[in-house]
Amino acid sequence: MSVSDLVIEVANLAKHYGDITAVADVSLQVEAGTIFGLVGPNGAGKSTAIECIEGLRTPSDGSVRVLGRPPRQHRRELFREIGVLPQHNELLPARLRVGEAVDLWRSFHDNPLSKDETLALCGLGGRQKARTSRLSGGQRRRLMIALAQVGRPRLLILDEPSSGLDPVARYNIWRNLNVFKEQGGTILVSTHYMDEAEEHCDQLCLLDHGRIQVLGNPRRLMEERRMRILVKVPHTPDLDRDRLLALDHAHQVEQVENEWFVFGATDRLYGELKQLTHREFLEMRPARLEDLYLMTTGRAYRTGVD
Amino acid sequence: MNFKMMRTLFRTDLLIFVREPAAAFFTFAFPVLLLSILGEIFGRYPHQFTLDGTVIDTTYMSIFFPGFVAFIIANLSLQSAPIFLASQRTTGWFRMLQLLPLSLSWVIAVRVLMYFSIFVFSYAVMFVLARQIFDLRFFGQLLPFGLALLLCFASFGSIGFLLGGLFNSASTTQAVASIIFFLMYFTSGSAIPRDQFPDWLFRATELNPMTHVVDLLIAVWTGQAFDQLWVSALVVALVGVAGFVLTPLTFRWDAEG
Repeated sequence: MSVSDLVIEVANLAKHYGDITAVADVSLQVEAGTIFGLVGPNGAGKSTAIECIEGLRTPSDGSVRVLGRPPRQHRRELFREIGVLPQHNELLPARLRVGEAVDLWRSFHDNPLSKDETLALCGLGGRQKARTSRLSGGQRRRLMIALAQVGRPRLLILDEPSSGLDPVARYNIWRNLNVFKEQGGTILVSTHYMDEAEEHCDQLCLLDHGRIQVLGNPRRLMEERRMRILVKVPHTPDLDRDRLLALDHAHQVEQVENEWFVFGATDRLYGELKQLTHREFLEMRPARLEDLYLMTTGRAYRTGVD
Repeated sequence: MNFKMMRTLFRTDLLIFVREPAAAFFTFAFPVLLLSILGEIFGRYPHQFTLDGTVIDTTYMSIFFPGFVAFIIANLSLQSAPIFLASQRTTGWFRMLQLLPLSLSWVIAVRVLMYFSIFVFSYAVMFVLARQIFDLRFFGQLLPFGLALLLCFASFGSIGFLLGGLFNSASTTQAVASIIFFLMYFTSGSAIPRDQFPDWLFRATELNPMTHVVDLLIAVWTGQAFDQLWVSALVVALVGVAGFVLTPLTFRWDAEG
């Protein structure tokens, strides 16, 4: 990979607010033409990292380069090539109408999408006169993503694009983003929806407490940890972690409230566990990125256990 | 920034401003109401002043109209502007603007231009109204009066931007701005002529910057010589200098810092 293929380069990024560390020692690279996901629970440091990458915040330490330039020094030039979606929909003035917002965004760029193209992107062609405050959450989100694309950007930076939306709205947003990627665009996206990250991201960075927990391709990450299937085993006094890990096909074990979550690479794990527990039926499903997230951050797993 | 971008940003700022009912009422309707009511009560009262040693008989309105102009300037600068700025910062609109390919100094310039346009419009409406209904007369010269208006607008405008940057919360800004505005307004001679004040209040209100805006505008409106108005002009200019020096230190685009 040549340096010119790198759209974003972050090295040892740190951001402190007094004694609070929002982001610590984050290094990542985003390649051109890919979707890179920043994943983590609320308060993990995703938005702070994104704001440092956008140049809204000055890093306490480390460096950020976007399209080869430090963002804080080249804000105006960079935002001609970058489309940004902030986390909150309320950033659009409530009394602004849809068509007026599109006109305003178009005026910032030399070769913008036409008004009709922009409205078609967000599916709001019939609601030009509507005030943005009258739109539903999904419509406003779609409008803001379309506005981010008005300048035909090379890079989209999206902070929680589908947060709080229903499945149909989420599907529509990701369909739009995948079209953008197919046309050669690059996307840096933050999300706490694991299924989205797993399905759409080429690379992901799992953040927790401001630090990188996992970085890589989602499928490869699961394969590396040999997490293909999950079998849930009810907790009994005679079962412990060591006994479960002693099984030939068990590779990861975690206790979640009154169950053991046992991960393995093959279905044979199921038979081994049935034999060990003398149970006829156990719950089994494919392992998901969400499981890796939970294993890594440990948060949900430890609920009620700590 | 190209002309199209500035024009669109100006139009957007203006639309957002006039669609805010409270801002629109206090900026456009309230000064007209004030002029109409006070004008009906006092506007036609005979009044006289001295110009080049000659006593001129005229009406209350023809002398104190600049007090209504001072009201527009103070209302726009000390109420509308800081509240609008603080609310746009807290709702994140300023943050959004930082994520767009435009110069932030032009955003400020467009905002100043918008307030100036609103001021010119309000002034024109008030002038026509006072002329038609209360037979308003102008005794000064256009150039000095225009320059005095610009000085007062720039001076108080800078204080408005200063106030708009001081507090994170729009409601705190509104409370503080309202207290400052009403204190200044009622003691400036804009609402009640200062020659009606008791002596101690007359002297105390010389510390009010708006008093000097009213005095300066009345002086140039009635064609007074420079030696009659330089003190007020100097005070207004110094307030403006303080505003221009301090505003960059307090102004923030982002409520979260």
